[in-house]
Amino acid sequence: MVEAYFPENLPEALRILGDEDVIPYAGGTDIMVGKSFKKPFLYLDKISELKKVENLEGKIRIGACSTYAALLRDERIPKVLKESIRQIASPSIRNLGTIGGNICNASPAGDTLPILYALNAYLRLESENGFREIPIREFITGVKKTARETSWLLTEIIIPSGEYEYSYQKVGARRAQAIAKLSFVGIHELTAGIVSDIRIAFGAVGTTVLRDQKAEKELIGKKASDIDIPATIQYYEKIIRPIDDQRSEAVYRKTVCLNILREYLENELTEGNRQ
Amino acid sequence: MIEFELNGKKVKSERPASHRLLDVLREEFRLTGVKCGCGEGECGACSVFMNGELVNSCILSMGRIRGQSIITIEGFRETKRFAVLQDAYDKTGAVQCGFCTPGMIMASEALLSRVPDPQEEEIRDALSGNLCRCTGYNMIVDAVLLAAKEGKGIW
Repeated sequence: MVEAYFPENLPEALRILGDEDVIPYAGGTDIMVGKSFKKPFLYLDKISELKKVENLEGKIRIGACSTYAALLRDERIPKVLKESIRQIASPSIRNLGTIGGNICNASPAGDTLPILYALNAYLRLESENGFREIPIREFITGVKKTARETSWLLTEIIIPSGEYEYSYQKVGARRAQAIAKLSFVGIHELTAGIVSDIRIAFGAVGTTVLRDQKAEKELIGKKASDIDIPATIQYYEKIIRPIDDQRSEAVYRKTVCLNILREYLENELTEGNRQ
Repeated sequence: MIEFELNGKKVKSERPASHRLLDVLREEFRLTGVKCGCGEGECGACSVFMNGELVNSCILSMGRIRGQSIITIEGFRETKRFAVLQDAYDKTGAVQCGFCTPGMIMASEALLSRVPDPQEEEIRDALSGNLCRCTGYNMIVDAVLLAAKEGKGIW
């Protein structure tokens, strides 16, 4: 068995991915926690196309192998995404770990995922035979499961450029190095007190990120001060179905999610809160 | 065959690409200042610089460091900045059992090279990937504050 591949550019990487059974290696921070590897690594770090960030026609196209540290230094990245990245692991892991890795791992607790769902992120997947761009919610299909076929590579994460009013909360056992017990993001736009846009997402309380567009539609067009908060909480109370695991318990997760949501609707859903 | 730069010298290793840099540093190059605490990027005892950036050598595979420059605590020890940090750690009592110390020194250098005059909050954030079971951290924070003061102008 060839023990590793070191492509120098994207076409070469896609060719190998089409022909061989390999593990794409981006930052490696999650892969290397494993102890034995049955397939060779496909190293992606020499591929400059995967580390570019571009702002084109109102969209930011983030190369999938951009490290967290690089994104924190990039002024084009929206503050709400940076806020979640700043709370990932530790400085040394943020120097290696990549946003594409966070997505392809598809952990229910992946820290950037609720933000990317709320931003309606699209993912660009490429193979030797072409490309496609799909919403992130169609890409992540379950716990550690994605729609990526083995010959496809995640090459870009596409989000709208610009800033939002937002509130982000990650609840973990400690501030650094913690895997989320749960996370919350609310982003919104208010126009003269009217909710013109709102997106609410929860992480680590289901197999994938929980975002309910029906509930959001109920809030859009209403005056922020007229929102029926108890009814909204009651709605989310029914659809948030977390589990007990080594990091937390279902009852804790649900209670805290609803408390954070209430706090957001009561106090954060205001104008001029672009942090 | 993986070629890379180690503490300023060009070196080669026959280890497979999937092996951890940490093991190669300790077993092949006998650089035992790099410690294995947790083996999963939690504790920072294995911290080294790759191209000047702080990384955990326990979750860094050999294939990833091909052609890169690696500096360990043994390489950093030759610098004036190390001497200032060593003195500051000594004066503040920031070293007890010593197992975390090489990693803490590397994380301190990573901070000071970017932020020569850090606030306490910045220090705590910069050291957040390094665990110490002895000191309770306060003396280590004091050490970095003292190093920044004593070493004014060298970072």
